[in-house]
Amino acid sequence: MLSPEIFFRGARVWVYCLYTIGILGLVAGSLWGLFFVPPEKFQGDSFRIMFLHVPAAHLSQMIYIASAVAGVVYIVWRAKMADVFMESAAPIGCITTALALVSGMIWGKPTWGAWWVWDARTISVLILFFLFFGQIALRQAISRPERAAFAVSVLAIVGAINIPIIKYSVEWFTTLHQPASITLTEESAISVVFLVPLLLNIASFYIFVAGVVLAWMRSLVLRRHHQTSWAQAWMGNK
Amino acid sequence: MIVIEALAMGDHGVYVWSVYLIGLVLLTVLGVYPILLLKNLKRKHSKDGDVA
Repeated sequence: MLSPEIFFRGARVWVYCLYTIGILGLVAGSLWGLFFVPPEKFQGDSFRIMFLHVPAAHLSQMIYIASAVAGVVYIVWRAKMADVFMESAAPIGCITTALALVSGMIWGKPTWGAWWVWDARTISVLILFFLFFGQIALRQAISRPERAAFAVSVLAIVGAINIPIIKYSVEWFTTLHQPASITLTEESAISVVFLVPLLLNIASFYIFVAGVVLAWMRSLVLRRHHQTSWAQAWMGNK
Repeated sequence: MIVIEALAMGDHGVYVWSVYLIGLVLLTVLGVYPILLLKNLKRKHSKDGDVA
């Protein structure tokens, strides 16, 4: 298993590399989507919200899947770094899901005529937000770290049932939300003019948030191990 | 004039720009918070703060 010290020392360079590449990609992809792509035929300019909404929504689900996998790893092998990952992923997932929800609400107003509709996709993403929030609350509520980690792992694993519900909600139910436009098996329903900046933003979002996860994990590792000799040495105490 | 039209985005400027503003704020919080957390921990536990 990866030792906290090796992780703490090794991840530093990765954090700054991922931050730099992610931010540059996000700036480029957003400017491209805002100013260098023609208006969409039916939605006009409001579709430009897509370049933030889709990456945030996609990433939120991926963070939850990774969290559930970390939950399995923790329960099976009691790997402490898996718990550190879950603790850092919960607030990050909360924020990315909030961004997906808020951007979706704002996009919904000019497109659907309402800020919020109670359809299967929006409800299932709202549940995802509460699942992330629940992980944070559960950890705060249990004083013993091992018990808290176990409980959060169970919640992460059980909550993973929501991920296929989010994905297939637009197919199983009649929803205002459109079906998936990008799939691995079929040709994209989006014109390549829109697709390229969208994929750039999705990739950049992933890279940036990977850096954020590593940075958050480093701070949690230091908090948990601040009394060890290597941590004391890093802080200049030895 | 071109800049004003670009910012207005038809009638959708207020929606589009508010999303990007919120996105900028949230992503900045995401990026900066863990770095500040690490710095605060280092300050809190360094030298006179903690005994190893």
